[in-house]
Amino acid sequence: MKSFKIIHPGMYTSFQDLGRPEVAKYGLPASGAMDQLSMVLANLLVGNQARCTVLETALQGLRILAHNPIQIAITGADQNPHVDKAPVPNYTALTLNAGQELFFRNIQQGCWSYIAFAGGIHSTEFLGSCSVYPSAEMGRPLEKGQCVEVLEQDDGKRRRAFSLPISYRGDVLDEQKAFRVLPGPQLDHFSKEGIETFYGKNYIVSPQCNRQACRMDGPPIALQKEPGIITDPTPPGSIQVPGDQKPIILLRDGQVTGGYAKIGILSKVDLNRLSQLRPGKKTQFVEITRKQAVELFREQKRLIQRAKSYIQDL
Amino acid sequence: MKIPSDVFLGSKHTRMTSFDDEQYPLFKELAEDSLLVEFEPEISLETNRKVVRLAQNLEKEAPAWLISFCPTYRSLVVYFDPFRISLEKARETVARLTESHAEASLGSSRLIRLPVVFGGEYGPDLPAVSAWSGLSEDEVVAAFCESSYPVYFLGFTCSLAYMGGLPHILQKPRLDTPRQFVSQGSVGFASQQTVVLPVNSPSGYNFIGRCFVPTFNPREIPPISIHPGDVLTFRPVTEDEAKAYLQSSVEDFLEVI
Repeated sequence: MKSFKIIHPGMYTSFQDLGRPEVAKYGLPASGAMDQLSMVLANLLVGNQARCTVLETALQGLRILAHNPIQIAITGADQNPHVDKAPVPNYTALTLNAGQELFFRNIQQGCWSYIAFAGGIHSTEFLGSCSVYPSAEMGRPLEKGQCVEVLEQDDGKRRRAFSLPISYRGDVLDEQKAFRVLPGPQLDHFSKEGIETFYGKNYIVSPQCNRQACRMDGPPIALQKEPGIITDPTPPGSIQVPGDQKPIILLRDGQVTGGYAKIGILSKVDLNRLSQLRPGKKTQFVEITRKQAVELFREQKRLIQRAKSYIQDL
Repeated sequence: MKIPSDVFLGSKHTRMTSFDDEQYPLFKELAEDSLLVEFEPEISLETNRKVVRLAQNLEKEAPAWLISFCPTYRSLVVYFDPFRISLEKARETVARLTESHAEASLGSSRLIRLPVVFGGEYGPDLPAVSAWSGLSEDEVVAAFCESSYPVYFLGFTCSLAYMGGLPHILQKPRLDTPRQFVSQGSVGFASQQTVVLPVNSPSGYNFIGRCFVPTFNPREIPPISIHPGDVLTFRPVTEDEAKAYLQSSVEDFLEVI
């Protein structure tokens, strides 16, 4: 049996996969990786199925000790990873030898990193997914001293390291591009001025951010009705505007129903990208149509296919 | 037991147009993978039954392209795979499964009578509710237990059942400072909403009792044993009797209507 140990869990580390979207009917969020594109690419790099369980870790500080040789890949944020004090590249299939330590030294770019392990890792399944969701008693973040089993069959094959070129990594670390938003279902709650403010001004990611929601600071968004609505469904990416007139973006662990007017819904591709913005980062929003959003989503699927082909052809 | 019709009378939810100006149900595109169905903009059992009925029909038909759905007071979102079906085709099926006003029926509704130990360490807000309402603590419990609580939907972050039916005299607003930790099974309310917590969680509600019958298990499907369309009632029991139900399940407390 292969395994590794958590020497330090960093800021926040948990098991994630593509979540459990089927449980919306039970009033539960889908959870899953904050940046699903990067999570999938990590799995492809080590030859896993796209939806295999990975470690998701925020900002910096995660330190793991390999008990056996294991093949890994790190994607998403650049947390300046080192193996035994030597820097290692992201988006690269690497081998950790027995006794080596992988350390996420300090955040350089982005927020959430993904570590995929060839063969997958053992974690408890809840309602069809291993994504940790502590609010409904589905697991807990990883703790110091915890050992994790790696499911790789040891066939003794030495794999050479290879990298995924930048053109296959997507735009998740692009902080400059405006964030694309679909019109929300309660636009009539907002004045023309309010909508122009939301799409015209900069908003800053506040420190009040976690896997549930991203609160933003910026110019108040003018309402023409009170922000309360008869509680209705809130898909992931919903942008609520409560009484203080600052936007709150609901993320993967966010509530599935809500009583505040929604000015927009973040496109799926940009939900991955927005989750990579750290507190203090500035954004701008731009409105797109559902058709455009579906096309962006389709492009993301094609990107994943191209990455898969590239890796298989190596 | 009379099931009250629960109409929201607050002034908060002004509508831009009256019901007559809109033809309900409305089918609206939402995000890449979702479609929103809206019924009349009110909190009422009559309208909620249409939502619950649609949810039940979706569950029964279970088309291959359906990922999930989420019913609320008067609207329901359908999550579908946009690469397996177009929005238009999804809308067609959903419209077919949505009954017209004339056809909305009660469907199969369960009456669940839960045993609750009120007050003391299990009802930390009972004194405050008593003071606020002007009723004695016993009168608060009696007023609470006299009513019945229809489940409109499951939502928030943990399959929380949103229930109506709270008597007007008990509609104390939520706490100024929410508690960081409230035990699973705690029974309480705030303004017009009544809850039984499915898991330990933070909450700003007024809690007057605790039910030890488990209602949530993340290892089972469905994880929650209370469903939209159920009607809950509560009966006061001693602490010993309440705790005896730790190994029971909601199904042990069904009553024939």
